[in-house]
Amino acid sequence: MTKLSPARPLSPHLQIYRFTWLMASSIIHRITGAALYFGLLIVAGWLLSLMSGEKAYDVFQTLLRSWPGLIVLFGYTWALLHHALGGVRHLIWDTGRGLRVPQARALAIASFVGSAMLTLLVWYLAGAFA
Amino acid sequence: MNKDFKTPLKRARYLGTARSGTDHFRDMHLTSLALLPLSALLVYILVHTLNLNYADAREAFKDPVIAGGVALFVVFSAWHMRLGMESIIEDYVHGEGLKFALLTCNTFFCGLTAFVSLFALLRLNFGL
Repeated sequence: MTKLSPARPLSPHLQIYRFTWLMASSIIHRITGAALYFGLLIVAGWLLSLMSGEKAYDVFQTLLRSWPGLIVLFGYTWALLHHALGGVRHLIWDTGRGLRVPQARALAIASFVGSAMLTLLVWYLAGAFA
Repeated sequence: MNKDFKTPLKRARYLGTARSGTDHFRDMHLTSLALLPLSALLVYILVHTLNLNYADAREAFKDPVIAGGVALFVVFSAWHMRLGMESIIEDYVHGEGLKFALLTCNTFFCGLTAFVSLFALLRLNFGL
């Protein structure tokens, strides 16, 4: 592909299409995927700090338990669960089920509700072991 | 006399289909399937080890299920996310040079993150 030609008028899309649950779930699936991509660094950092000695581990734990750290960890948990439920939707579609619009919309809403509930459950359980 | 009327320039520029869509689909769906139990395992491990002190956390990794489970999660995640980010880059970046650079960075980032994690896991499992 060579360079793009100078800006030409494009047909409108975001301005005119009604924003649906399916649209939202598709783009959120991609966004959570991208967030998890960088989030793997949390897992890598955790393992590295464990390998590097008690001081490094303490630094990691302090960072993780700071306000921004907790927000990031909570976000990572939610992104992982939501992207996983979205993945389940895709695997259901692979079998040919749930492809009609009302069914797909129900699956999309279920993944939003399910991921929110599971995130709270996981954090509750984590707190229970603190 | 050429059987088809196309110029050889198309082949030289490697234009046309990428011929790898099915492989991509299969890899993504297989890794997704594997990542469902592996992600659950990772969350379980995190919940049980993030609150431990240093000594107990290190002890936990001597268990092969914990070390192996995290290792499998890392490998399958790196594979899955490399393909996913590749799709994102291909969808939104069209400048030839920038696209090539980002696709390369993508592969390196995934490979390096996986390598570093596996290296740490090996050392932790052997107690080094």
